[in-house]
Amino acid sequence: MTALHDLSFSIGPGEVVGVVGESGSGKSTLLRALAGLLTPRAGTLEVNGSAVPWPCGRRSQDIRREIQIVFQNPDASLNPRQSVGAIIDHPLRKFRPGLDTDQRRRRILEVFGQLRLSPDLLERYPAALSGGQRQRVALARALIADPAVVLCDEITSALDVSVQASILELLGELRRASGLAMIFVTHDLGVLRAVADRALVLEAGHVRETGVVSQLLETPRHEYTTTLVRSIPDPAAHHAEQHQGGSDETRVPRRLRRRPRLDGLRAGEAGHGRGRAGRRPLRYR
Amino acid sequence: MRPPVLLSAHGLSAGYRDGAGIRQILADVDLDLPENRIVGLAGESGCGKSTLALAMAGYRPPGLRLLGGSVTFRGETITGLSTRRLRRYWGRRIAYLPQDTATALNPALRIGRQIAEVFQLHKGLDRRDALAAGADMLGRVGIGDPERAMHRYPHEFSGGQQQRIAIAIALGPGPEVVILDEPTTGLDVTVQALVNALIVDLIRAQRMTALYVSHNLALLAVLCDELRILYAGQVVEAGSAEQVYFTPEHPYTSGLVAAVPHHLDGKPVRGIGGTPPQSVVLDSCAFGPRCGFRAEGCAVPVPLALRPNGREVRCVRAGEPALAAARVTDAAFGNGAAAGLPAPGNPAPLLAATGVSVSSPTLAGP
Repeated sequence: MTALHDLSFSIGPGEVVGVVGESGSGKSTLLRALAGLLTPRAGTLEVNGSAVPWPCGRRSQDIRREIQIVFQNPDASLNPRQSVGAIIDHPLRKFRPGLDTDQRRRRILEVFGQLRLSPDLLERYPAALSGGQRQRVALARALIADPAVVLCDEITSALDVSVQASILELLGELRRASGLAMIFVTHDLGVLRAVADRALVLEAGHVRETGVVSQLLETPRHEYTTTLVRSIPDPAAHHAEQHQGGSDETRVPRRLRRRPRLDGLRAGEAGHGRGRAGRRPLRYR
Repeated sequence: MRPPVLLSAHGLSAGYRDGAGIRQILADVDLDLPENRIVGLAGESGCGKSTLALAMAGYRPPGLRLLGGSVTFRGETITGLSTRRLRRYWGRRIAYLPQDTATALNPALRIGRQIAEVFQLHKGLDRRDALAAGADMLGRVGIGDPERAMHRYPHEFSGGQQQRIAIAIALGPGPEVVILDEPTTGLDVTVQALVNALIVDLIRAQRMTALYVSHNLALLAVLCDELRILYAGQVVEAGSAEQVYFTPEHPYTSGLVAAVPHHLDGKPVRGIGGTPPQSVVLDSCAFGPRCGFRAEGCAVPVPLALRPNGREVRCVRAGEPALAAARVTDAAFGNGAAAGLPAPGNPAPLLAATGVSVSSPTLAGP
């Protein structure tokens, strides 16, 4: 569990706020606090202008419905002994007790349609689904009772790139269709760019930078954000570098010119993500 | 002029026993690793990348059947050799670095013993020299205070450090070929960048030849000289890393490129619908069912054809303008995510957290 230090942020209706940082930065701690799974030492939470207690057990049924969470690994978050239908039905019974069986079934099929899940899957068990299907079932469970905000904890990082891309596409559609607000934790800046409007950069429990995602990534102001951005392989920049005709043509092959210095690497050894910002790793941006 | 080929697969076919039959995983794969080159191998999970990577080292996982073809190292066939004879290649001439290096290190042995062993075994050094060489190598991969590190156990290091130690053990004795199977998956982004830079640095400095397996095409485009795309156990596109990444000619490659979100352009990400087939498809184009350019000519076996521009592509429609036009070009898209959405800093927040501090694990009651 990573500590958090005096962190403040807000999210508007239909907005997607990204939270980026490396392991140990406090990303998941923040989500767990918002979901009511742990109680911060200090700090307040407001939903729609009214104060909400931290522990989930002291929250009203309605607030619990409003804030839903999706975890990284659907294998761990879906009960293997329940059919997909039972998994999805449970929150609906709990949060929408007024609905009868027919109405619940209609709602389930509606959400399944949005998430491009076949109704045939309702009879199956999580083990019989692919990784992408399982994560979409986990999303369906979060969306079924019409929450105000969905907390997403690295929900695509365990998936293949092509499956990740279809989930990202789907999230875009959901936003356009229903104005879904999300707090999206990720360590992948490409994913951040694809889903989020604004973002917080967290390092060791401190907010290092906040801002509109495009600006944050194109012109990072904090040293740590710069380090993160430079760590992403950038074929276009690499390509440009390989093909620029330099007048100072030396005997060193181009690809070897900008190699990392290992002594710097040693200096940065002790901490996570500190003391590395000034160096440019090999052919990364 | 191409440098001589060091490690090479010729028409390699393999499959796993599946009940009474065999589920074929690799079909007639040719893969050359030219000397001093880094070749990238990409594809989705389940396309046979790891099976091929292991087969290139001459290793046959339990249950895998070799159905045809061979792997040669400097012209000598290594497929089908006994484990005892393969040990003459492993470590010394062909090194393998797996994805999860936490399992590559023995948790019960100190680092010093594990790294000295490879120098004793492959370099014939005595214990003292081997320990010195090991400490030197740990220093080169950026482990601080190598002398002390030699006395510690794997669990005393972070994931990134363990990965660097595994790299030191694999690359220390200076193998001629190194096979890297997603060596940085699961590490933090900044650590990934450092570890990859380190790997390439060591490979270039020691003039090694490498096969780098990853599903991240952007990473391979930056790290590798050449790129091979594997789909359902077949190579579907081969060429220089630059060509394959920037001007993919196979629709599957275009799909992979379009699927990776990029942090600097707001281009929309596109998934590839469907999943790869469970086993190889030989009677038609394996990618056909997922392909947006499927035509009548796709219902026959499609060979990996050398195109006039020097590219190798397994697609009957390769080179058609329609395919090229469908590529996602970086410049063609504006700011995707933020377009047409509510302005940030909405005056009436839906949810607001203020001054949140967490100090110790305090679990909420139900």
